[in-house]
Amino acid sequence: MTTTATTEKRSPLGTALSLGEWAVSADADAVLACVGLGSCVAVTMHDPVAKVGGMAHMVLPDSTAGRSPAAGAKFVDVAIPLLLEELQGRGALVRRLRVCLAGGAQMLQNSSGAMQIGQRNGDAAHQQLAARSLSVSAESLGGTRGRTMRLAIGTGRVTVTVPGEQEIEL
Amino acid sequence: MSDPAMQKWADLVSLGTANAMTGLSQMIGQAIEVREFALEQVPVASISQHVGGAEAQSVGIYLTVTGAADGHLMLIYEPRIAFAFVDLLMMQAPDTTTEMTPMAASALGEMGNVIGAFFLNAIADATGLSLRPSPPTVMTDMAGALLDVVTADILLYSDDTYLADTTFATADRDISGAFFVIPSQGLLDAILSNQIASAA
Repeated sequence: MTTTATTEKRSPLGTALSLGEWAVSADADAVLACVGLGSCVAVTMHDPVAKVGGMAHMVLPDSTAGRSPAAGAKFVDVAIPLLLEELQGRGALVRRLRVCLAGGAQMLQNSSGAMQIGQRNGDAAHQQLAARSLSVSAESLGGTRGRTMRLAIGTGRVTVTVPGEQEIEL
Repeated sequence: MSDPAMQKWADLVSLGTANAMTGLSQMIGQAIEVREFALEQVPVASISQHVGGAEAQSVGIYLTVTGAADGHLMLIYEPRIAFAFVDLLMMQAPDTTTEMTPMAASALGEMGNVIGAFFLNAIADATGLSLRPSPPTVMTDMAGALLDVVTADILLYSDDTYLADTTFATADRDISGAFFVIPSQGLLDAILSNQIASAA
């Protein structure tokens, strides 16, 4: 069964999570995906023993900076604890979780300071994970290109694709 | 946004878009007919579905706005539409441009300059706000990645935004495309508070 924050959208390429959506699944056939990540950061967590995994499509680093509802996985500081809690509820253990990050690109070449949302999202994700004793197994962060990240629940395989380039496995 | 505020914003975007088309028309020396104009309230998370999906390769023309309010605007097109514009701007036969060359990017940047200036001028005239566009940035990537540039800012304030979708065409060749204006919340707030204040 796959738990998502919103209506499930199954396609041959997997359950695509829109901005601020997250999903947890123990379905061996499920593929979770964050498509067209720019400055957004996607996190995947997978426990190979409990055979459960999850993903979140995070847009902004800090829920205290805005004035919109912090529901779902929109903010990194809300999404990571939420995803972890849901996975632990399904039998996942922190020490077994394989965690990957992708995204956080700087889409505008000459942006600076507060505009560098991609960099700030990546930094916030590292902080939130470290605070929960989770280390990042592999990541594809930064740069100036959009990415698509997928997690296959059955195998725990995590891939990142950039248009026109070869798929990489994290 | 309340209905009267929504109507005000729709009127302003309509005005701005008509003026942007006038500017574009002057730039290419041909009449441009606006065939359809729609302003929709849409969840930010679903914007990419209006431009062919998050993974669809797209061309974005991005401008920041400074002056009485800071904000940004983005025009986003499927590549075939963007290339059709390039051919039109450079007075080339249709389908001449098939990839994003530096010359094509430069032509689209010029188009962004004209559309941005004419769009903002119309809004400035109607509201009395001084709004200036930055030089445009032309980007090619997946629609989702391009849209992150504007959506992250919007999501700080709201889960919804307003998408202006304009379909237009020139008389002498088969070209039409969607013209999206995605304002930042700051720009929207400044424009609407000014409008409502001046109407009161």
